Amino acid sequence: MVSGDKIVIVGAGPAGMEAAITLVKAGLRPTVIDANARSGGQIYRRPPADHRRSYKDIYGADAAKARYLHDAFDAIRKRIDYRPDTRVWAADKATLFLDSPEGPLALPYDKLILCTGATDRLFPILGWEAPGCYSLGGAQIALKSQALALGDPIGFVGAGPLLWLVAWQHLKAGSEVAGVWCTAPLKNLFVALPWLAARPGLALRGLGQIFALWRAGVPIKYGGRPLAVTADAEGHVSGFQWSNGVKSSQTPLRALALGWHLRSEAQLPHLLSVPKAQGQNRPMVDGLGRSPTRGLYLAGDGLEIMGADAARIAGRMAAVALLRDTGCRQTFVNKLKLVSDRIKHARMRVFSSGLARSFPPPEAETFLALPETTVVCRCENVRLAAVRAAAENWKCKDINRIKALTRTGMGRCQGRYCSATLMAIVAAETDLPISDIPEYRAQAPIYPLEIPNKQR
Amino acid sequence: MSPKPRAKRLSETNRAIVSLQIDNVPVEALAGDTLLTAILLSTGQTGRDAFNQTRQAGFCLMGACQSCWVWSAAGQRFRACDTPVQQGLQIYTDGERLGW
Repeated sequence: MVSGDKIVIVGAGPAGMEAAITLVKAGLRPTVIDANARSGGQIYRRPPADHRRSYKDIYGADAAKARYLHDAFDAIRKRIDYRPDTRVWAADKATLFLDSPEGPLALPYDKLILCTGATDRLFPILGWEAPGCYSLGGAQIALKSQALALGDPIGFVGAGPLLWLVAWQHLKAGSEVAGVWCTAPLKNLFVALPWLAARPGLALRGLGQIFALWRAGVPIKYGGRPLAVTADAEGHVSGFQWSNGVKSSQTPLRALALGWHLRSEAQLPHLLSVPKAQGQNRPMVDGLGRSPTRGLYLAGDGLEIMGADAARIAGRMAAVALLRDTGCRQTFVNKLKLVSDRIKHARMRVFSSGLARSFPPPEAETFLALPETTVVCRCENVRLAAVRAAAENWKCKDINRIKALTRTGMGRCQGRYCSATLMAIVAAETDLPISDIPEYRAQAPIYPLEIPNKQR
Repeated sequence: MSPKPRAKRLSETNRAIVSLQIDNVPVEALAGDTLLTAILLSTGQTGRDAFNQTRQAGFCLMGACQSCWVWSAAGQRFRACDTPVQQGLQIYTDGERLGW
């Protein structure tokens, strides 16, 4: 019944770990590729072995989930081929190309589950290229895995559940929080309540974080616009300017973390020619995460930003789809579990749409109000004036044209941190919905590779 | 002279001390720190922005933005955010200037 297919899971966050656990239960031995040194992904990232904080200290309300996943994954370690510190830099229909501690490797596969996760979705602020600006995810990683506040005090700007969570985690850990600036108006939160009610416990937890920050006296602002990050004589972040539409304020701080929710890391499905879903900026899959390409499955935030709980379910569902396609028969209990997973996942999608309504990205007017000298592409130092000129003069409807003309997205991050901005600018210039604007085309290597020079 | 560090340890201070050199400056870090943590708590800056010649200090901390590259004396490149400190390690933050 169990075939000799070579099964590879890319990613060891909640989706990848659950997919691996499900496949091992069915008697298979998948290979799991993890870019990190330890499994857990970003949300359940494990600190180095030398750390002594408790699960409760690190993961808060998610402590039990983190511990369950870590333990369950550790329990199957001998029954999988786990490859930490290994990155997939290219893929074709039968091979993954790896940058591993042993050097470059070509790994053949028959079936592939992509659980590549997400990075922060960022938009520019004047001066955000200064040292001392970080992504929200980065600030959270510093806290979780290094017990470090990136600035003392540190401020948080953006919109999304992560904004409040990370600010609250800093408060709990004893860091001074200079302020939280949410670009979405407060009323959005109430308008979205019918959708957020799909997961009342989680919605209340989020509101509780906002309340706790407010009660601790942390300055909180809604519905305004970031004006600038200011820097000291050494060029390092020293303050943040904000406008509520009527008047502006200046807050001194020593680090600023930014983020407007997350964006999927979708380079591998692009390289593998998975078509785009109709009217959406994500790869096409069926209800279980099966792509139109035979033997290719997607799960978790790398497919659709729905958070860790949904990623775990998606990981299980993708594994079930793979098992079905391999001819593994499902027991009655497994079938029941799948029905329950599908219902839960659908409910979580309603909640996610509520979050999207609560915390939309900045509106077109925000971009039109940015100073022309604002750096849009941090890596290549491309400023807004150049991007706007390319969009207007060349009638670019595609951010790939702007890339060719201005060098945005050609630097070290390979467009991860400017693509959302460029898509928003092109959408504003062309009056098209953002879902109609294509992402940067993925190019291998999808991470910069170091070619070792043996002569040195 | 190094400027006063902007980052701050919040806990986990009871770990073994690891000595290393950053741009020839002796630095003490703790076992389990990343190179970026060691840098942010001492010299405070990673490589130079190629355009503005301003220093950088990391950004995403998850190996995606690639703005925290550092180099070994032999010219091998690391991301400071996902490379752990090691006793006796010598790293350089200004690879371009050194000709790499």
